[in-house]
Amino acid sequence: MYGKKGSELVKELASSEPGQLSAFNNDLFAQVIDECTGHLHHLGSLIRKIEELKKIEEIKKLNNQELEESEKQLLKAHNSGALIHHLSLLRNKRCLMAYVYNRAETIRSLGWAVERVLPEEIEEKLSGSEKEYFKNHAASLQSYMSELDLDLAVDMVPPKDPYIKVRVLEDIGNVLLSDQSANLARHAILFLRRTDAEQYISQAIFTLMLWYSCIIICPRSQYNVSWFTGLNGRADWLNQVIMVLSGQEWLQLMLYLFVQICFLGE
Amino acid sequence: MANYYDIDDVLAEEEILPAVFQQAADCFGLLDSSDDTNEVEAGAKVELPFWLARDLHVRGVVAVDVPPYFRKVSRTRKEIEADAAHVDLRGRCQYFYELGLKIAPLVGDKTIGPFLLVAFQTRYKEVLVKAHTAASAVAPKHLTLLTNEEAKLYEAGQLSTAAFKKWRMGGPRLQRAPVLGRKRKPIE
Repeated sequence: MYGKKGSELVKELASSEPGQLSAFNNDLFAQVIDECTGHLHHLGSLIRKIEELKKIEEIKKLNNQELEESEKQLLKAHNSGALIHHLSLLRNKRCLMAYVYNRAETIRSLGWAVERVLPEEIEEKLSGSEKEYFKNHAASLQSYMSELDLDLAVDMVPPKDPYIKVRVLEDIGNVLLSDQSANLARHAILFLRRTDAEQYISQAIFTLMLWYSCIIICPRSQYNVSWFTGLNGRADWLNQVIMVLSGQEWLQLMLYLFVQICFLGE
Repeated sequence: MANYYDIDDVLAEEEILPAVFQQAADCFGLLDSSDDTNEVEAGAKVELPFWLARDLHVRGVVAVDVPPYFRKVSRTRKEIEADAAHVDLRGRCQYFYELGLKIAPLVGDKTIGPFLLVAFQTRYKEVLVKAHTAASAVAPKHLTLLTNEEAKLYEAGQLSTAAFKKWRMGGPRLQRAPVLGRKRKPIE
């Protein structure tokens, strides 16, 4: 059936989570374009046939004759065949355009979320032209912001305190921040200016510290406790998990740690 | 006309309709790619996607029939009349309403409009109640009965409940970018 591959492409887009990118499907994309070339080929040959028949018709008209019945039928068949190919071309075009356009929209929103540099695991999902598009879009966003002299990507709600406490999740070494030079070593807990920290939080290099994060010093917390959170236990799980715990789970966690400390702790 | 780039609109037009060719058409492998004949005979009963059937119908190449679930006398209509909320519309057509809207002017069936309206009104109430009260994000059973449009409404309902809860309880304002959300760190 015509147009199946194009719709597969769009279906793939529809089934992915909104806001998430999946890898650019080069293979299927090329297949759809191949199908288009095939349609064009058929369309061209059909149109040639139609023109030949039309010429015959004109010649016969000059002689006051009409096309024979079989020829009329043939002309009609060619016409509708050409129409089918034409419509299939339009349809495939629409599928391809929808695919590219919707991905481009997601990529544009990336420009707001992660600023100039794309993380590797996202970058490898983009096609060459999409990478270029992202770069240009991020650059024009930056130039607009510098023209306004205003960072538009920061949190909309004014903070109560200009400083926040964060924990570093990834080693990135010494970094010069606006008021100090900080050593961003893994697991370091820092007190930074909010505006400095924000971009790192959105890039998932920092995590925001809340008051209960102090539990991390408990040595047993490094154990895998995925059995009650249902999440993958990792050394740095606590900070990430706590943010999404509901009241009941929080109680369970406290109970668990309490038991650990009382009966198992040295 | 809906947005040219709208994914749902594109997919809704992919739905299959029964059609009958009114005249022969000369096109290679339309129905079956392994088919060697170059021609579709007049009177051939085929199933065409909506995007193809619409224009061919307008130009009189094929005659489109409504799919079984839109027929005047059909099981679906009876079921909807009996208890609309528990009819599995998703199994019949993922884009039940969109397709209905598109097909009604095409075949000139005046009963489809009111039928869709009744179906939607009764089902919408149910969707709304469930969306606002369902406890977790785990997909509940009745979600498999909803068409795509209804599933979207359901999601929107859940999101607004979540947003309301967040507003009332307060939550962390700074978060990692959602695109990075599913990232798994390599295990050290």
